Amino acid sequence: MREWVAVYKRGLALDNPLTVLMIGLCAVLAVSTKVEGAFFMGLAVIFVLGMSSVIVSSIRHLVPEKVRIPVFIVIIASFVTIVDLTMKAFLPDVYDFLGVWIPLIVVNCMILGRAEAFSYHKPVRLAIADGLGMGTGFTIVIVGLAFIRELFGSGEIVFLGARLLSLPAGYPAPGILVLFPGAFIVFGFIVALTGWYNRRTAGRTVETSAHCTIEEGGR
Amino acid sequence: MRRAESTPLNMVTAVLVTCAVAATSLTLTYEVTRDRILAQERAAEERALRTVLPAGDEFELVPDVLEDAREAAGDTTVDAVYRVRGADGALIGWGVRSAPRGYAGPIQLVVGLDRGGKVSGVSIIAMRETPGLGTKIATEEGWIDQFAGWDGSDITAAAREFDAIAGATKSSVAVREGVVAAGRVYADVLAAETGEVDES
Amino acid sequence: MLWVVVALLPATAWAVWNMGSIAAWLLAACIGSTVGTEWLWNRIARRPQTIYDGSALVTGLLLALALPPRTPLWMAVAGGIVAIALAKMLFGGLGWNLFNPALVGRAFISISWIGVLSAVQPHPGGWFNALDVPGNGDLDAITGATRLAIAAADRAADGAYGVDLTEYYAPLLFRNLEGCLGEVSAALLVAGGVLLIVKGIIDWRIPAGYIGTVALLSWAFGSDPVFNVLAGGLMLGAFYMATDYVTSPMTPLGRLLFGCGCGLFNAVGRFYGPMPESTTFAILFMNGLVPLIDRWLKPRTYGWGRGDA
Repeated sequence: MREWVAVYKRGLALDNPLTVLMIGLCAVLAVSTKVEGAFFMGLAVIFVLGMSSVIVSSIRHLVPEKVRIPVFIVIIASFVTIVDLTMKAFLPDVYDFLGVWIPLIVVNCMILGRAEAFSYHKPVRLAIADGLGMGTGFTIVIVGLAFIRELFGSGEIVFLGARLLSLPAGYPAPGILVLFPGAFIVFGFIVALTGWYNRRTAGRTVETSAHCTIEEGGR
Repeated sequence: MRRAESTPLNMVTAVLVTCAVAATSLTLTYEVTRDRILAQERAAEERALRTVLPAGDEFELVPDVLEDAREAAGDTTVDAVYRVRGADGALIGWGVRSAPRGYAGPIQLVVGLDRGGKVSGVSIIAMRETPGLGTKIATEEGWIDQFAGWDGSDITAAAREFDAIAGATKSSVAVREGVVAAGRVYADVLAAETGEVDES
Repeated sequence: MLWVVVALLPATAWAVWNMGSIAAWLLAACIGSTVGTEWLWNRIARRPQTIYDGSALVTGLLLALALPPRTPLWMAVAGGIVAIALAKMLFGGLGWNLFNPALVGRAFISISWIGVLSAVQPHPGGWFNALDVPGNGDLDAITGATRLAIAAADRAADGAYGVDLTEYYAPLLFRNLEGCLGEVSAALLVAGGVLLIVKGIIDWRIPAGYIGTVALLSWAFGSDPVFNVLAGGLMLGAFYMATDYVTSPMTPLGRLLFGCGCGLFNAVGRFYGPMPESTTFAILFMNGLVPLIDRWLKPRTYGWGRGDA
């Protein structure tokens, strides 16, 4: 259980897919203009990553190495399509906002990267922890980024039609935050924050045998 | 347990089985969600049509004029033309669904025209404009109402007076292009249709 | 650094004299915010104080010169903070910044509050002067449009407005009140620039390449080369911003190339871009290419092979 928790927690900060491993960034920069979109993007990624980790890990002995990539892609693409159709049916407004970025989760290197580096080599139990941890780490960062960009860049946060938070009227929202340069600038600060946090907690992290980064996993 | 060897048989089997399972599960999901997706799309369109022609009760697609409409619209894409009838079945106007190019992809909108070709309203169904800037075309109070009253039979003249939103010029101009396209469709195609409907 | 201030002084003083107190306030806000930000940053980061090297002063001065006098002061302060904190100190301070801080500050303002810089209201006169801009006939409709915007509108309408660009030569050279502080007098800016070249502080290749390319391309695009060289704060950019030693290439050939690149993007931005005032982004873009230019044109150490840079 301790190992499970440790693997899960790696995805949150120490091996955060976005701020430490820096994979799968383009979707993050593109959809983090609204908290609503970012939140459902995060949920979609948690679902796809969690499910594909379970499946990849449970059939890892049956899939020969030479065809592993096509098999991974088919598995990931299936879950992405399921998310795509479900979202279109039940959350059409969010779907319109996320648009092409949902289908593009298929080619998000984060998902394939975790399958290749982790799930293909580890038992199902830990693969779930890794998938969920990485997905949660992704969601925290993307929602945080969107929160800052939407609140300060447009002056209010609207979630599923409800205004959650707004700055006083007359706040001169700097439009740069909702444009791409703003995404890079704010993201830079979040990366710095993660680095600071990781360095501060460096002594207290439990080393696990399950640790496995992209560099080690890829060949 | 050892991993399966990369023999031709193993490889083919692994890929085939994965694809088969994936295809089955996707078919199932598609079957379950299909009706709902269609209903959602239809509902969004009807909501938009109701906003632009509030008196309308029955919205009927007119596919046979679509080709002429596209030709009349020129560069702007026209996706659908609706014949709108009131509760008593009388023709009260037309809805033209166009998709002018905005700053970040097409802006899906519906333009309502009354029987005489006056623009009765514009409603945006979907867009990908920059939140907080381009999206002002939908959120800026009263902005989209400026198109109401434009004369569809002489749309180029009407389009001369036009307020763009500062900082969202490209999105604003795109909406105008959508309205202009609808006006052209009215002038070239729907004006004649209106007469025909009345005769029949 | 002090020489740059000296070179800019006549143009700045002339701008303040003509535009009045609002220009002075803008200068104070920009310089105060850039120097103040650097001071505060060094205090908080417990670094040696660097404000006395004068570079923050120059950044503030250049930022103010690149803004129209009506810019709200809080906006100018925000630009100054971004210029120093984001574009300079975060990169490690003077010498490490990739982009010209003053231009980053201006770019930040122009992207964040779109329309504020390009649709500048005519300034309200000043201590001494009422507004006396030559009448633009039909173009009164676009009050406050900069000369470049007027020229662009005329070009887009195939000369329908009948704007005679040669009429603008004299105001642009000596006393132009429509635009930024640094657009008041191109002649004084050139004079300061020549002083810097003579003193060996800046390399003539950058302004020469820059201005030459813009003139050539304007002529090629069928516009008036003299007008295009004088308008849009190009002199300020060519002599004082593009020549920033930190953000320009090291080799002579590289500098010439850099200047020509700035001119190319500036002219293309003017004639084909959405905003006619493209000086800022042209220089910033070329700033980004400087490491590449330096890499290509790295002087080869004698006796060492090629291509192992």
